[in-house]
Amino acid sequence: MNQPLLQVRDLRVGFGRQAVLRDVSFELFSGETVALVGESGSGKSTLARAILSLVQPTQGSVEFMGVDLLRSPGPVLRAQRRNLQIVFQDPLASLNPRMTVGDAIAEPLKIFEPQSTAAERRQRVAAMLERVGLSAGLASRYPHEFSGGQCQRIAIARAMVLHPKLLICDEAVSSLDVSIQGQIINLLLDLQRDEGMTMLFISHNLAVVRQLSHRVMVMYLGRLVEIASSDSLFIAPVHPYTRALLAAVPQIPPVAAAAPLVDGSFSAASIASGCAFRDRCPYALPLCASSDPSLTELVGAHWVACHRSHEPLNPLS
Amino acid sequence: MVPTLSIDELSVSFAHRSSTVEAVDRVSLRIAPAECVGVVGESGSGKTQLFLAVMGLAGKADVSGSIRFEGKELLGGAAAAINRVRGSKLTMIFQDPMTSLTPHLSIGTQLAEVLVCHSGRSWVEARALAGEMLERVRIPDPRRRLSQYPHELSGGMRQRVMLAMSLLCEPALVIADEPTTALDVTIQAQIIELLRAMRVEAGTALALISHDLAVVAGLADRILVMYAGRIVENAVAGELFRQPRHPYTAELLKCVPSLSGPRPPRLPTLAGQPPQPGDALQACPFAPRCPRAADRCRIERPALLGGSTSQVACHFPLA
Amino acid sequence: MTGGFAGDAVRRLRANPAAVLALGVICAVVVATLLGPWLNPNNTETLDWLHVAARPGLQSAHWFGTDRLGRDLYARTLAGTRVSIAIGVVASILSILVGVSYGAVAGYVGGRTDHAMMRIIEILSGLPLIFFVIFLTVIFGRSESLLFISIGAVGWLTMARVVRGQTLSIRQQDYIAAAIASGASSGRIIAKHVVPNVIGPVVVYATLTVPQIILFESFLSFLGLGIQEPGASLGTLISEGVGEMEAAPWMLLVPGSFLAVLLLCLNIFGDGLRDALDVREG
Repeated sequence: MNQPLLQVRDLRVGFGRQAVLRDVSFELFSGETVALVGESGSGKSTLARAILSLVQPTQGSVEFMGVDLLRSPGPVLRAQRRNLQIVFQDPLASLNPRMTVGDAIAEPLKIFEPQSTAAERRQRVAAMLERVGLSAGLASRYPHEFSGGQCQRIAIARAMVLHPKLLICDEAVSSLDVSIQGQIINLLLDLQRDEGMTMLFISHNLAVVRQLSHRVMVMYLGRLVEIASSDSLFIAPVHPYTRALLAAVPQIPPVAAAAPLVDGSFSAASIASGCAFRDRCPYALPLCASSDPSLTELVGAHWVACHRSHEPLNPLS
Repeated sequence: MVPTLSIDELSVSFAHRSSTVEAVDRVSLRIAPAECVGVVGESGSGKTQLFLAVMGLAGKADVSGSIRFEGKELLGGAAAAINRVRGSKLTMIFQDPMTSLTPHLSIGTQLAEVLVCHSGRSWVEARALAGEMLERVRIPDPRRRLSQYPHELSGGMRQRVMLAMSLLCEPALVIADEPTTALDVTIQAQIIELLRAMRVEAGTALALISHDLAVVAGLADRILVMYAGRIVENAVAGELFRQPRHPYTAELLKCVPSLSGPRPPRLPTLAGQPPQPGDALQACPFAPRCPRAADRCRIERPALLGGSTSQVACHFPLA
Repeated sequence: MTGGFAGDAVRRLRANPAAVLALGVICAVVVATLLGPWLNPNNTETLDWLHVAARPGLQSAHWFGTDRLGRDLYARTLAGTRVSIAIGVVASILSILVGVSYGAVAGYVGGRTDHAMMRIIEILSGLPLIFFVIFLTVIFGRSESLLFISIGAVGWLTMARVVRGQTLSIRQQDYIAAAIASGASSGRIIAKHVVPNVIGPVVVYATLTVPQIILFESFLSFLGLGIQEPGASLGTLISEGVGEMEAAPWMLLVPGSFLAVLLLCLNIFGDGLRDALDVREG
């Protein structure tokens, strides 16, 4: 395989067991969509912000296109930002309410291509609006005049205007209506195909993740617990948390519910040592209390952090 | 048998700028005792406004029509009569457990308050009963929780407390407005399981409002689908999923990505967006997005027609 | 550009009868101070020995009467009001410019810089105002520009605090994160993203600052530290009027009521403006 586009190594945000992210390492390759799945407290949003240097990690490295973003001086980091963009969960909150959407989309152009003329920028903004399915004439309107789905298209237009190599979507469709989610997902799929870009898609919605991703990473309380190809994960999940997560997703028609997980504590700090999942895990052993399992590779690029990953475990019942 | 909740031609409208905006447009429905009805819709469908009006929480809105709870009319009655029923026999759980509990009062106080106000018990008695109810909603270590404050509990726990509060006076109907939307998937599964158990134990009727069809699928006996302030389909849960009659229901079901089955290269999608209150509407509000729309749909408003088990508001239903 | 907000806010303001009335009165007063002299040719400094301390009367040449020296009170009151309003507006603008920049930078940069900047504000706030002004007057002598500076130099403190508070809450918003992620520099973010979004409370605060400043200036002038003879401000006029309270009450009542009405209307309008704008901010 060629050089990874993004390489995160031993990333840590926070200290000790209180850390929001602990020892996170993974790679993203050009052209793929990798999903990051987890619930509240998993640290997935913090990971996105750490990659973008919006949050300062305590340890570890984030190498993007060969450049260590965390150790780069200000101007170098800013220069790299044109290739690394993000779309947030709340579309309206991610747009400056006092700026027209045209100005919002043009801003990255003004920053990275200061030699461009106003006319050139206007043209590119118009092209971008059309590309995301909105009419070019809407450029002079303000964000509050649009619906949630339209705002998200505008946010995507702003993120894509410089044709970034990596797009991070942080719960980008979670606050949208069901009928609109599909539109935005299809838009992202189209853009990815046309631009050949890489996507890191963060979501708690497993069904949406299955639709979009080539590979899936599962996080629990700040650590990566499973990484696998999309097919492997959904057909044969290994980590007990992944299995509980999949079993908990309500479906149509409804399937017989597996015994739901115990409502556990919600910080790794409350589990003094060992595996952070052990007080909710139906398969916990004494070993799990003393030793924190590390992410190890099973067959074929399927990584799991569990002491019992080699055993065939009974389905949750 | 008197239905627990009987709504007829209910409309909720707001003054906005210089015109009136209808959030709920002449809705009629019945909820039988101990029945679980799922109310499904996207933003702007009016599903929340409908039940806020039932609870008398519609604020400055203009509410017209009839709302009968256990046979007694709620609209236009004296405030005292509504207050007696509301919070005791007719209760509501809201979406955001963070903001539905008062931050500076302990859990025990907030729960006991309900009993003291509605059933005239003493504070000591009420607190004891509150502790019992916390046990029934499966909160671990219930006695300790009584003296805790909302911020010390997780989202899932707070939602259980809300459920406990709504069940304290043995209500005939509990309205749950997106009770699991703000919760994690694994916690959501627990709350759904809890609601199922509570229905069986307490025998209450449940109106479950959600934008998530799958959540409703696990609990509801009957499902109402709302669009642009109106009910467009009313069917038994299993039937709705097997054979949806309204084109909107069918399209909505197609839009929901699934965990199993084949993975299409592109998600089926519904063009356009759900109308918001105040948007100009055609006679059938779904016509602009409907693959089956004809001229008749643009001029004649489809009425909600059908038998007792299945109703649909469409000129050209699918079945 | 506030775009749709302005329209909404104006509509809400129009629906508030008290605020509209207040605005009307303020405008009437301003127009009167500007056009008044045309209606009555009397000068502020001409001494009319024939009509010393004359009662006000519409029949006489002096509509509002005269003071101890025979100067026309109508002309002097209008002139005094003009001066007071000018001081209020100019000092407010000064405090806005300084306060907004200071507060936005402190709030956005945060950390030790913010701490240091806030300590400076706290120290300055702790200085007793009057002593500060007296101190400056002693060193630089009495002059009107000094008056402007000393008032403006103090007015920006609370404005800076208000803006810093607003900036702190805005800083957490996603659009700021989006701007950083787009490669914007801190300066750009403060200018284009922070300041336009704190303008709302700033405008409201400014309209409430104007009456405070007018009152403060009146107080200084009343004490003899502000506007000097033969110039007039509402403060000096009131000061003179107090001395003549029993013999010639109109000398106090005329400037006094002008001041009272002006302050009242500015406060009512400021409240109305806050109500009109705040709904959107929420």
